[in-house]
Amino acid sequence: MLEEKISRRTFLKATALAVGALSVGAVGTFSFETWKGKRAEAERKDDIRVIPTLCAACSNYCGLNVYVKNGRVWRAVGLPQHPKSKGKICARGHGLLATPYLRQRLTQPLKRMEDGSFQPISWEQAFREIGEKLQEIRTKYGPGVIAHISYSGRKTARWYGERLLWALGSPNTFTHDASCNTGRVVGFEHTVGGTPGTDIANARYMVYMGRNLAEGITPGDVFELAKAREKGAQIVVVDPRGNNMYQMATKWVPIRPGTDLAFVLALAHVLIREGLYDAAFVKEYGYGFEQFAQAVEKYTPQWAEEITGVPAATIEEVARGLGKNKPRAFIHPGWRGPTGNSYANSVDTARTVALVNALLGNYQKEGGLIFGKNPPFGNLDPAKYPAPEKPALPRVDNEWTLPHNVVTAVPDKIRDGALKAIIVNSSNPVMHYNNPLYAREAYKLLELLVVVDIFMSETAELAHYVLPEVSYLERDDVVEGIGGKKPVVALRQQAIGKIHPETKASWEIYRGIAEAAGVGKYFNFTIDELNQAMLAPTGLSLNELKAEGTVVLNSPLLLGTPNFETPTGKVEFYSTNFKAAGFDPIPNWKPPLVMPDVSKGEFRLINGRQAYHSHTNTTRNPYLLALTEHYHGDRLWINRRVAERMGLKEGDWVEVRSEAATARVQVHLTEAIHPEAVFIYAPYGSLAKDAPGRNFAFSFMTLLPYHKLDPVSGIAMTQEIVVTLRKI
Amino acid sequence: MYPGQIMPGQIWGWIIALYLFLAGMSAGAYTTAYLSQRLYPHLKVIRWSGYIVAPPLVIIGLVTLMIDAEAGFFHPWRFFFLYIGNPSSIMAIGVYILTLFTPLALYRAVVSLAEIWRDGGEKKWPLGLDRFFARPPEWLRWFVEGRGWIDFLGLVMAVATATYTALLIGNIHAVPFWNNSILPVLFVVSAFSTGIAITLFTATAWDPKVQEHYAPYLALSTSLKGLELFLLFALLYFSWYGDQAAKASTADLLWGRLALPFWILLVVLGLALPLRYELQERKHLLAGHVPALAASVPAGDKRPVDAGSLSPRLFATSQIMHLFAIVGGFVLRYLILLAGHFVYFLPTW
Amino acid sequence: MARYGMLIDLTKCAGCMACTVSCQLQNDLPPEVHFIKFYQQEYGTFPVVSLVNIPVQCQHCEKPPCVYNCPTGASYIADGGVVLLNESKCIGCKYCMTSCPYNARVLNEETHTPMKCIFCFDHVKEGEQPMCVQTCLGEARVFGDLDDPESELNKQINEKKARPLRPDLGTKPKIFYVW
Repeated sequence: MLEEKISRRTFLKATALAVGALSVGAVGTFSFETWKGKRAEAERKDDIRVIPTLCAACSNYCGLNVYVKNGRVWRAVGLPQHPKSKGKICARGHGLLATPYLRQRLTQPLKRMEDGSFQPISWEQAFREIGEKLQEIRTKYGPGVIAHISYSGRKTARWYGERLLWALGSPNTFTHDASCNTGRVVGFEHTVGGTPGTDIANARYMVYMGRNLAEGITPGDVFELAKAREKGAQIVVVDPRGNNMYQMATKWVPIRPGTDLAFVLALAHVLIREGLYDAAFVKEYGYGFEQFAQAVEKYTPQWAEEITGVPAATIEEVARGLGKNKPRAFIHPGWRGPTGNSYANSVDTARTVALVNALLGNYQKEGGLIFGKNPPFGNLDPAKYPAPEKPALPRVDNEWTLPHNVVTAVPDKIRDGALKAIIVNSSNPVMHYNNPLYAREAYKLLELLVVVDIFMSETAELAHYVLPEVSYLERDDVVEGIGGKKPVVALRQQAIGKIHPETKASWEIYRGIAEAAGVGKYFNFTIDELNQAMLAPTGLSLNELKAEGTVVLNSPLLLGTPNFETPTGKVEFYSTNFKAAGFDPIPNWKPPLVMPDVSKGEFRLINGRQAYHSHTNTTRNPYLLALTEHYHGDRLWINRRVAERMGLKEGDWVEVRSEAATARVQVHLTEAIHPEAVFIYAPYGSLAKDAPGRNFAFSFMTLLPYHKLDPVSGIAMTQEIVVTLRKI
Repeated sequence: MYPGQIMPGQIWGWIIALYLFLAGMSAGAYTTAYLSQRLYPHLKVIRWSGYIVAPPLVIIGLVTLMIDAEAGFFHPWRFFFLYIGNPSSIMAIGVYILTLFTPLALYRAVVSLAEIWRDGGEKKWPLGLDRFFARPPEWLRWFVEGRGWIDFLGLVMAVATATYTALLIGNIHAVPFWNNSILPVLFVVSAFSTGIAITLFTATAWDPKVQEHYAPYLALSTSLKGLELFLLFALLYFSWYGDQAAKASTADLLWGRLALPFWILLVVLGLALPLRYELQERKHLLAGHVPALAASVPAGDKRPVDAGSLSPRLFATSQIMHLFAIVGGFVLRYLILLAGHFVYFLPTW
Repeated sequence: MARYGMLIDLTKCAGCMACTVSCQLQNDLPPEVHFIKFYQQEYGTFPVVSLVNIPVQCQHCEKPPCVYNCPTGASYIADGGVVLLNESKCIGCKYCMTSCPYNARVLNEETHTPMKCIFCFDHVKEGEQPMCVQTCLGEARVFGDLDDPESELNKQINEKKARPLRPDLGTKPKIFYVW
C-alpha cells in the first residue's frame, strides 16, 4: 500500500512539471520593472539552495551546481573549474535532473518469486537472504564463481564492489569497458603505456576518426574544439556518416566503414615516405621503428584508396596537414568507435593511431596528446579498518592477457559453469555487452543475480534480488580524481532529500550485504570516513571539497618529457606485449571480420552515440525522449540515392535482417552517409517491460551475430554486422 | 519542411477555415440580396433569402472563432481587449468590421421578416411579431420599414467583411503562399460566388418558381466561378515561380499531400461541375424554357411549402450544384490554410 | 535602456541541444515544449555534402509581426527590446503563431496561450546570462547589448559578418547567425 501511495505522489510531482509552465505564460502581465519586482518577490519566497555536485549522465561526471527550489531540483549550471564540464552542461545533464522524480523508479527491495513475479521485501530480509546465498555458493563451488559487474565510470560501485569481492575471495570484478573502449585501451596501453588526453584548444590540425565530440559529448572538449576552430585550427572528421561535428569541422572525409586501419597506415606511410615525421622524437622514444617503417612501406595511399574509398590525394593532404603542423597536431585516440569496440581490426587501428601520433612527436606537448597528472589519493588506515587481501585465484577471463577485464565473456563463463553468482551495480550487462537475447538466456542460469539499480532494467528483470538505489542527486559518492594538466578532485554529494524512503545509497547496500555474508569487518566505516582518508594526501578537507564541489590542485604537470609505461619504457612500434601474447607485434592491415556484398543489397549496420542520450539510462527520461520523438532521432540513416533506388521514402518502415535477428525501423534518407552503410543511434530498442525506450526503433545489439569476441581484446565487435533491408 | 517544423495549417485548422468561409459567404449572401433589391425588386424571394441567411452564417462563424480561441473562451472578458488592445491589428480591424456588419445584417433580416409578413397577408405570427410589425413603437419604425442608407451601409460592411477574411491570412508575411495580392481577390470572389449559391439554394427551396428568373444570377455566378478558376491558376502559377516555401505549397496542392482533395473536391466538384451546369442552365433559361423544378409547381400557386415537396426542392440537380459550390468554398479556404508553408529561413548556397 | 540581442556562431555549434533542454528546466516547461528548435538542412550529394544545423528561437524582432498582428495587445515589446506576452490579455487566437516567420511560438496546452523564449530577462536584469548562453558547450552563443558599440556582441557581429535569418522579411531580428 505504501508503495502505491508513493508512486501516486511522485506521479503528481511529475505532472507538476506541466503546471509549472503556468508561471511562464504569466510573464508579460506587467511592465518589465513590475514584472521583475514580482518575480523577485516570488523568488524571495522561494527557498533556493545551490549545491555543487557531479552529473551522472555519462562517465564524464561533469561538475555542476544544482539549484534546488523549495526542495525540488530546478536547474543546473556547470562548474567552470571542472575540466570535463568547463562550466557547460549538455542536454543529457540538464534532462537527467528529472531522474529523482521519474515514476518508473524502484522504490523497495524486490525478490523474484517462483512464478517470476517480484515481491517487495524488507532490506533486512534482502541482505540476510543474499548473504546466506553467497556463503552457500562460496562453500559449494569456491569463491571464484562470484563476480561483480559495474559501470566503470562509477567509482563507488567499483571500489566497494572490488572490496566486497576480495573479502569474499574472488578476483572477478568486471566493468563495462569491453563494450566500450577496450580496443583503444589495449592498443594504447601496450604501445605507449596508457591512453592520453588531448590538448584540443592548442592544436592546429586534428583528425577525428569515428570520434564524434558533438554527439559523444565531453562538454569541455567541445568548448576547446570551438576555441581551436576560432583560432583557425583544421579539424578533419573521418567518419562514414556526416555526424554533428560537421559544422565545427573544416573537412569531412567519408570513409568505407571498417577500413579506418588502412587509412591510418597510409598516413604513417606518407609521413615516413615524405620525411614529415619527428625523427628526433622517434629516435629518442621509439622502439622497433625500423620494423614498423618497413611494414608500412606497402601501405601507399593508392593501396588505401582501394580499400577505404578515400581518394589518395585526400590521404596525402591529411598526412601533410598533420606533418606540417606537428607537434600541434594529432589523431584523436578515439573512444568507442573504430578504435574502441567496433571491428576485428579495432585494436590494431588504435595501435596505429598511437604510433602515428608518435611519428608526430606530440606526446606531452602543447596541442598534442598529454598523459595527465592524477591527484594523490590516500587510503583507509588498515590498522583501524582491515582491508581484504587481493585474492590469489586467477580471473575467469584469463585467456585474454592484454585487456584488464572482459565483461563480454561473462555469458559464456556462466554457461560453462565458471560463474554462479553475480552482483551488478549501475550497469545493464544483459542489454549492452552482448547480443541481449544471447546474454539473457545465460544470465537466467545464475544461481544468484543481485542487481542494484534505480530502474527495472533488462538485467534487473532477471535478478533474484533487485535493490533500489537512490538517484545521483540523493547520495554521496566516493571522491573522484580527474587527471589533466592539473590534477582535480571532485565530489558527488546529496542535493535533495530521499524521494523514496526505502532506497539506499550503494555504500550502505554493500555494507549490508557484506555484514550478512560474514565479511562485515571490512566495511566498518562510513563513506565520509573513506572520503576523508582518500583526500588526506591532497591537503583538502572533506568540508572544503563539499563547499566547492570540484577543486583544482595547484601542482601543474611539466610538459615535454613523456614517460611511456611500456615494458621497454618507449613507444613500442614493435609491441613486446603483443608478441608475448602471441599476436602480431606490428600493426599490419587486417580486414574487418565481415564485408557487406553491395551487389546483394547488403549493408554494414553501424551505430553511434546521440548527443542527447547515454544508453538505456536516458531513454527513460521524458525530456530526452521528447527530443527523440520531435527530431525522429530513432530513424535508420540510409544514403538517399540508394534508398530511392529501393523505392524508400523518408519515414518508410523497413525490416532490418541480420544473421541473428530482424528488427523494424523507419528510415531517414540523407546524403550524409556512405552508401554501403546504414546507421542507427545506439540507445533505443530497450527490451525491459517498463522502459519507454522500447517504443523506439531497435537496438543494434540484438542484431549482433551471437557471440563473436575479438581474441586480442574481448570486444564484441559491434559493427561487424551485415544486414539487408526490406520495405514493409 | 524541416523535421520538427510546425506548419501554419497545423496552428490554424479547419475551425478557422470554417470561420473564414462562413463570414465570407454571409457577406456574399448579403451582397446578393442587396443587388437583387436594387436591380430586381420584384424577385422578393431571392432578396429575402439572402438577407435572412446572412446573419446566422456570420454568427455561427464568430462562435466557432471564439471556440477556437480557447484562452478567450475560458476568460471571455479578454475579448474586450480586441477593441482597445491594438487597433492597427488586422484582426482587431476585422472585429470592428464584424461588430458593425453583424447587427446590420441582423437588422436587415428583421426588415425582411416584416416584408414577408406584409407580403403574406399580415397573418398571425408567433412571439407577437405580427403585433410588432403592425404597430412598432414610434422610435423603432425604421426597424420595420427599412432605410435605404442602412442597407447600403450593410453592403459596405459586407464587402469589408469579405475583404477582411482574405487579408487576415494575406497579412501573414511568414507564409508566402498567403501573402500575395491574388489571394484577397480570390477570397472575395469566392465569398461572392458562395453567397450567390447559398441565396439561390435557399430561395429555390423556398419557392422553386424563382428559377425562372435565374438568368442574371447565373450570368454573375458563372463569371465569378470562371474568375475564381483563373485566380486559382494565377495564385499557383506565381507561387510556383516564387519563394521556396510558396513552391512547396503549390506542389502540395497539385501533386503532393493535398492533391486528392484539391482536384476532386475543389476543382472538379466545387468549381468545374457547378460552372458547367450553370452555363447549361443559363442557356436553357435564355432559350425560353421553364426549368424542370419550377414547372412542377402550378403557376400562381401560393400554398405554403409542405414536407412532401420539400425533398425534390432540396435535392434537385441544380440544388446539389449549389451545395457543391458551397462546399467548394469551404474546401478552398481549408486547402489554402493547409497548404501554407512558413518561409524557409535556412541559408541556401 | 539596453537593446538585447544575441549572436549564434554555427561554426561553434555542436547541435547538441543542451540549450533546448536547459531552457526547458530554467522555464519549468513540460518535456514536449521547446523554445529552442533545431532545423537541419543538407546540400549536395554524397560524398560532397554540406550540412547545416540551426538552433532557432524567438528572434526578438524590432518589427515583430506577432506584436503588430496581435489583436488584443497581449504581445508587446518590453524594455530592452524583449518581445513578451501578457497572458491576461491573450484570447488565444494564435494569430501571432501563424505570423511568426521563425516558428518560435508554441501553445501552452494548460492556458491555451502561446509561449516562447523570453531571453531569460529576469535573470538578465540580475546580471546573469540567458540559460542557453550559459550552457552552450562551444560558446557559440553571445548575448549582449546591441546599443553598446563596445559589447562583445557587437564586436563579434562586425568581425564575423553575422547576419539575421531572412532579413528580407523586414522583421529586423535581433539574433544574428554566423555560418
